[in-house]
Amino acid sequence: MSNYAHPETLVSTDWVVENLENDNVVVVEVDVDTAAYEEGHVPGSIGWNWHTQLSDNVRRDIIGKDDFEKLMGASGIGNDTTVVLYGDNNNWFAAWAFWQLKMYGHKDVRLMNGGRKKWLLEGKALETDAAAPAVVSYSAGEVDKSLRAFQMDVFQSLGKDGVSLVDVRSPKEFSGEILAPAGLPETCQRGGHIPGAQNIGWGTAANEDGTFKTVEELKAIYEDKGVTSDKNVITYCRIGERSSLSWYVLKYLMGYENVINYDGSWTEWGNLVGAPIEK
Amino acid sequence: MEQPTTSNDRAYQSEKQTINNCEVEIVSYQINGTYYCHVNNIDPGATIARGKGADRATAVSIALEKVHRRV
Repeated sequence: MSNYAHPETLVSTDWVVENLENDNVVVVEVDVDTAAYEEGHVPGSIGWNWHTQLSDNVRRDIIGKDDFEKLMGASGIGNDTTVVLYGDNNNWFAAWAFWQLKMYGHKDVRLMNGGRKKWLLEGKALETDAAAPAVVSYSAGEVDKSLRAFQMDVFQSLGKDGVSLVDVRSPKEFSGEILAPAGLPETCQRGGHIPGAQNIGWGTAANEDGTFKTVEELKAIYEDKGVTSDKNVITYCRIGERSSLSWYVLKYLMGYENVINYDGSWTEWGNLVGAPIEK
Repeated sequence: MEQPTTSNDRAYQSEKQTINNCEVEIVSYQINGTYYCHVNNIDPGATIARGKGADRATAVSIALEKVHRRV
């Protein structure tokens, strides 16, 4: 797949077809639209609901280690299992799940290039019965916080050379014209963006069929905005999921060493008392 | 790059429209005899409304009716 920095983290839809019967591969669908899995999904795939299974909605946090271990085990995923994630909307929430799996130290996790859209476009087989895997034991590592930015990390980066803030939201969110995209509930008190951030929409990384653009195309997009591989890059959006896709692109496709995802994102920063913003 | 399959029975269709000043993408397809429609905002592409029915037109009209109420 192109000359991506970490091609081992990306598989094609055909690879998934060829590995549907592979006992060491578990395919998991994670959608923005949490009802999409029930319509039909890759045969044998597990469905995860990002809102109820990948979020701690009391703490506003990623799920805790115990819950993560239970989710993985209940999904038939052992520590040595190859996990292939896919979803709607160019793998938006699949990338968010990828980010969490990497934080908990899962070794072999991959995205299906093109996600649910490409699978549907190609007319590949779908089934509606939910998978019922045998429960296995799973042991997670401690959270790798080096992949995650908190608000203090962002404060400390303001105005510093060598740091690139990448706001992956739409231009209207970036400018403050709107607080949230139409139809989405999470909002904030103020519109705008974190000072110094570059606006590079998350969707610019994908082709029309949902697959990722080539490294050359991706570099042109990011380097034109001054986001180069020598920088410490912090990606953010509204609640941290769109930016996890850009985090994946920068780290695993383009090979940037220092990229972290600020999942507090605009719903945190836009509500913080005294936090500087630009419009 | 592989070319998408265009089997008529469940062809994936997509079109863009502006509804109440909101740009949306209307996606429809068929799975196992049921047609589904998702109406997504253009950016970020999240689903605003969905519909399903025995034919594509029904699924789309149900979804669009919801969109008109929501945006």
